[in-house]
Amino acid sequence: MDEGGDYTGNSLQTTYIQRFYEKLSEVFSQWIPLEDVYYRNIEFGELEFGKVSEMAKWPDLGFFNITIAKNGGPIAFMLQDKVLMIGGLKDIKSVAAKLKVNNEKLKWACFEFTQDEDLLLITTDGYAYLIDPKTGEFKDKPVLLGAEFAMRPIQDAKLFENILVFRNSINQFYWIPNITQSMVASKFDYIAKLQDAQIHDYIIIPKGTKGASALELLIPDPEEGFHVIKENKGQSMYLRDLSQMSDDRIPFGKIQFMALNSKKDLLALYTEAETKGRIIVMKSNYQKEFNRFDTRLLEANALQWCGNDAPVLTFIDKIAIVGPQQFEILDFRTKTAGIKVMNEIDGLRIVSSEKTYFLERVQPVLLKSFKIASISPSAKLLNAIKSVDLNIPRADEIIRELGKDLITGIEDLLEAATMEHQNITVLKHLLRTASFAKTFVDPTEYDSNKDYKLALQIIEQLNLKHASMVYEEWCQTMVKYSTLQDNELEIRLQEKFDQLKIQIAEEQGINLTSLSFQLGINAANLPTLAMSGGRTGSMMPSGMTQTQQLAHQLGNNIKLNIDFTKLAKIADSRGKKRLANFLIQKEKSIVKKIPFLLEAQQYEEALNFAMEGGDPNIINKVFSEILKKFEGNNKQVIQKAASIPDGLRHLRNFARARKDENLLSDIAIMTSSLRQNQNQVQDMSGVIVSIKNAYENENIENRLDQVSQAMKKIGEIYKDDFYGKTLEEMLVTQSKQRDLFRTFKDQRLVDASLSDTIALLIAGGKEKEKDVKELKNTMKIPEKYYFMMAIRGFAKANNWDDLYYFINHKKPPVTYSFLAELCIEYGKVPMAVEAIKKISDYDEKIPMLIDITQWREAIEESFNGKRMEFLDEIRQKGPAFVEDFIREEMVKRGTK
Amino acid sequence: MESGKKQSMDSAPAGPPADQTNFGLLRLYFQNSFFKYFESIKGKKTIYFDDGLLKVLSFVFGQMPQSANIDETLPLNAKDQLQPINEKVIFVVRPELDVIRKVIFQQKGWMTGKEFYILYVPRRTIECDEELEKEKIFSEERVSQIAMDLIPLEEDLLSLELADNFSHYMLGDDDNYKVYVQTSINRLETVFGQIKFKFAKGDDASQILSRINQSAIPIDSSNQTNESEIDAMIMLDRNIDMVTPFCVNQTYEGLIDEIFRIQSCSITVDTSIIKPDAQKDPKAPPMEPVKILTLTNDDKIFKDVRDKHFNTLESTFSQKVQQIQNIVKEKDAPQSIDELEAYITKLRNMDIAKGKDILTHHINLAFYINTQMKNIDYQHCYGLEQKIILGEDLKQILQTLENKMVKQYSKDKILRLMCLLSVTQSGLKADILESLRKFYLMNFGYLEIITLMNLQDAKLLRVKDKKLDWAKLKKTFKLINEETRIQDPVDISYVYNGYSPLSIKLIEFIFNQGGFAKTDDKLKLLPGQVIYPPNENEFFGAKIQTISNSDQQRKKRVLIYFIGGITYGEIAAIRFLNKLFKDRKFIIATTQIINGETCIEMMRGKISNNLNLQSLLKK
Repeated sequence: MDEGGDYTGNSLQTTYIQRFYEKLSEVFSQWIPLEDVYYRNIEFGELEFGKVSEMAKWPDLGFFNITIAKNGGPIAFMLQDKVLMIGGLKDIKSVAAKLKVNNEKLKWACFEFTQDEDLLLITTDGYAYLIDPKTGEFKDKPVLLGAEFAMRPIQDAKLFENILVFRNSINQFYWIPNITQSMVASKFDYIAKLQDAQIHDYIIIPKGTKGASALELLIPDPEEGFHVIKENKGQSMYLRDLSQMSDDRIPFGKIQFMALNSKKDLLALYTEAETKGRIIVMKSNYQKEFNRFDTRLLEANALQWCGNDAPVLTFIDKIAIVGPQQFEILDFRTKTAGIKVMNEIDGLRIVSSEKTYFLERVQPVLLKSFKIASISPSAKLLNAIKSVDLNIPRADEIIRELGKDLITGIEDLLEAATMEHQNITVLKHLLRTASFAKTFVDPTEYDSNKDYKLALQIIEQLNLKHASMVYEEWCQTMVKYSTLQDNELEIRLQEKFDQLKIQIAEEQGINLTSLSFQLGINAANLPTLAMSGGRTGSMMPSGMTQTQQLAHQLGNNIKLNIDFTKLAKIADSRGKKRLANFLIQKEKSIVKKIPFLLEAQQYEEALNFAMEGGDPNIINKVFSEILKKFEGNNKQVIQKAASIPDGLRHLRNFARARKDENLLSDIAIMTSSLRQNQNQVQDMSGVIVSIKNAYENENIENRLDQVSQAMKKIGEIYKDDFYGKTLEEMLVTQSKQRDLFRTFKDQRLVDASLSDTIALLIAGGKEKEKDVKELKNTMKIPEKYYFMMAIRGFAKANNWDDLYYFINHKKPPVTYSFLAELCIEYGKVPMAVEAIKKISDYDEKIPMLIDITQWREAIEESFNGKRMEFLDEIRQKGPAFVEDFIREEMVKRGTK
Repeated sequence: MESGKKQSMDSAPAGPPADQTNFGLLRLYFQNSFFKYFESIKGKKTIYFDDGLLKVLSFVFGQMPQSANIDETLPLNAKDQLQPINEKVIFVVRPELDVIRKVIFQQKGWMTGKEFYILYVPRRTIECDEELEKEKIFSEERVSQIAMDLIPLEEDLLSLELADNFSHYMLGDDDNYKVYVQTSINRLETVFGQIKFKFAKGDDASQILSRINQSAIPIDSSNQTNESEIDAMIMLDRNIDMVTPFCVNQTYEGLIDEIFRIQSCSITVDTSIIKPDAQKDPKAPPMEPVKILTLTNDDKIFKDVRDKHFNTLESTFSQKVQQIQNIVKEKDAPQSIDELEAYITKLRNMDIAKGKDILTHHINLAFYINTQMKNIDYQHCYGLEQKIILGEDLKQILQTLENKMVKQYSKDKILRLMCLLSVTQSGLKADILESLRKFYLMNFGYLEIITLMNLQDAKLLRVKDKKLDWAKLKKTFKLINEETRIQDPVDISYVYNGYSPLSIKLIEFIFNQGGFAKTDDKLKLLPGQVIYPPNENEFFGAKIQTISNSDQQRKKRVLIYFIGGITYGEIAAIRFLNKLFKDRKFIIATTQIINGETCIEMMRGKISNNLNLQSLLKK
């Protein structure tokens, strides 16, 4: 941009600022005052009718049947029994070509969206169809609601959440309690009087609503008043006035339309439509009439509620918001007439041929900030910044006057920012003002770039993230400056987090209506709205628990994009420990969370979170910090670990990787005391590390020392007899080996196995016999094992005579198969055969002979043991001449 | 003959077949990450490789490109301090304290003026940083990490190649693998699309899966057109079947692994084994003492035989020899110039010389394996394994074990059998366990006490309890097939000579019965929790309608993820499942590949005996 000269630059800027404030004041001027409340009609965009071949660019919506799904869901249009298009703002499409039903003369009696946002169509002869708006095609096959409708066709049908109500040509009403579960219809009590009546409207008050013990159907009487038909038979009522329930005796008159507000606690009636245009508002349990106002607005097309606040009458090109004594007209001068409205939880959705709108009540916090001549702190702050912008030196004075209210002002500004989603200029201005005001609370807060950056970011990413940024800004301010008690502040913050979560969920396209239905939450009490979201808060305190429920149901998978660690740090630095704790629990990123907790010395929490995440990298970090903190006081650390499931195992792993013997044995002591109570299993890792450490020693005496300590440990802590004894044997053997090495200088003895030691000693001749015996006795080696090792020593020493002695022994201390195997190992086949022959079990004996290819003996033994099946194996494995051996053997036996 | 020739000897088709997921992408990605890292450090450099990574990295790298400018590679050991010749020195290491201590040890021996970098694989950890900090050699800007996880060893086999994972899994002494498994699944989903159906059996698998589910973004139903390349994942804990790892499988690849230890698709073999004749030729140039053989599907012969029963190899190999001979013979037949030209082209395409070479290697390898298997002790041990599986006479089993112990025949094989015995018997009677262990230690030395303690902690060697009823499992899952066919197998039992690996039989049952819910009673017999999605029917119920249509509709891909390791036998059995379930394609992922002996080795751990003999003489 051209900098321009000095003289123009200044004035240009002034005009720009002036223009900005003019525009800002329009925000307020566009609000619609109605008695003491204000409404605002937010423009959302336009439906691109032009894209659909069957429609004009601005169709005359008066000719169309239009239905709108709640919570910002899709819209569908039908012209003369032909569904033309379905969609939302961005993706409206023609479905006319897709929906081909065999019967061309089909007439639709129902045209409504279900809670799952499928379009429900019912033919006059009773077939119900579902259309998936995403594909524009029929879902499943049609369901027949009843054969009788062929005779008495369905006139119209309405869907109230999941309750379907319809009537036939003689005004018999039917209902289906939950169309997602079954399509079986029940009949309401029949009111004969209504047989030929012209019925313009009827509504349902679901069971459980404001004291209704049963589902109620309300039908205006053709003359005056209305009928209440309950789901239970024989309880119908006819109300001309409220005299049956209260003292009010003034008749309603002839009713044209009826409507329930979102909370379903208020019922509005539009009566005497041709003469008075009267609006009556009463409790939905008929106990009390609140208001009666003859608007003189005649022949309206529909009656709806704007949220919970005010009834709205719709005309062909305008709507009227009706207050207790006044009404306000909103004119929609479009090229073609026709408006359709839909009651939403906190407002009213309006569709015209050119635009779609959302009409809502202005939230009090916005109101008090922007209302002209408002003296609320936030309004004053807005004034202060205005004076700065316009170079009027009033800001300081304003701020000074505010005093303690400064913080309230900042909070309100940010609160207002969380509610302002449509107008980015306003949002920016709110944030900028808040940020400006904060510099007076805490000069270190000042960051001249901050609000600018924030605004830029918001403009760049007009999506989920901007909501989070605004919310985070609000939270930060609250955490820093709020004078609320920690516990109260916790609740406020939690509310905001829940709101944000729901808002983000909606923007991600999660169908909240069906989710809340599954939860059994009354959809009308849903705290938020789809298209803009977040317009909730102070108006609906009763809805909060449901917000919580819904937020809870949404689970942990929705990222709020809020830096909880940052918030927690702020809280902690301001001494709000409890709040810090609350906030850090929300942090999902362990990498952020743990350092915070460690810094805040919340070791147990840190440990808890680390364990939950399961990453040893982080768990070990926490342990090492805790150990540092407690300066090696293992007991403290162990106790902390023991208080968390699996904690001791992780601590053990930590110690093991660091070869920390002391910590390991302390853990073992702890575990062994726990074990008695909790059936914990002791592991040997402590001893293992000790033994490993012992072997790493260069010096034998140190090693022996360490082994004997390990042995003690086993006795005291682990109470494992086997390993205790074994370590003792280990000590004896190693000491003996040391002594032998000193005497004989034979390196092979060092760290040899017991078996090898014995073998070496035996090979060493008579002089070492004493040592062998000594070993045998001190070690209490069982006879069998001793002999196995000793005989192996004979073989190794080539002392075959001694070995042969055992083969010839009638009851040798070892098995013959062992002796045989030794002989085979050393290639003494004939001796092996002798040993094998002494084995009594043929199953063992014959295969051994086969293995060493002693075919003749194998054949002989097969015959001896009458185990002829081995002959096949011999034939298979042996050379051709085994046949000769077999024949010889047979001959030999044959002669016998 | 002609058609057979075509099938097996033709050159490789271009690109992966349509029915495969291109896991090769992962390898390329990791390769690039490393090379980029090396390139980012300018100048000449020396690299120390952690031996636990060496094999897997050489698999991933293929060949080191010149551009990486690595001038020297050194092994990372704790014994000798080596002097790098270059100024820039990079350590490529696993994030383990033991390894870091080696780094520090090496660094201390350097001359001054070296620039020191650390590259962690697969991630940097705080404790390693701290260890370096203690030594004051930590420098933030010189520490990097490359998150290498699942390595595609084959088109259907992915492995984290975590050294020692089996022991960490069994002992629960290092949970890092759980994090690696989780991140590896995240990566798979990022690259190949979200896996719609995820199942878990076993405590670790369930824990990991629930963590994945917790952190997952809810599946956006409007986005269903974005199809995933993997349809389902079944995560299994190793300990649902502790029997199979201790058995010797009879496939060619399995036996190669038993004898030579396959590491990241390659084995190191004495040249004398694969070229026994070369040594006899005095004129031949001197050979290198060992050769590294790569065993992947790129080797067409290996591809054909890897999963076959060893005893059927002879006929396969002789067929192949015949084929080569036929081609060579063609040369002598009278031919026109054109025919001769065509023949030469054919020869070139098939690389007959190379094919013949490879075939010779395999035949010699098989011959060597056969000789090993004829060893009487080997046979006794194998016989013992079968007796243990069938639950035969304990007394004789124990006697054989004792005989082998005193002969000091392979402590790994003996422990493997002891574990198999203990696992199938749900532990051993206290007195039997005690005497076995005692005699084992007497024969193999007291240092083995550590191995025994670890095996006890891992519950592999334990006192009898009632946790597992092997006889019942055998019956319920029909694990024994006495009439198994090794030549043209009809079920997975051929892999273990008649025993069907329990882990894979379980998968077969789940698919036969149509889901986890319907297999619930059987799943309960095995340890650990189960997680399966409520809509599993959508996966198990969906069948491909007609065979003629199968061209358009691809098979449903199922990833079987083993936590704690898988054996080559199980891999072969899963591959066989592809034949049983024609509309599925099974893909295998694992933390590492194991066999009975590597399991024992891992449980032994590393012990350094530093005893100085001089100290024995001092009094």
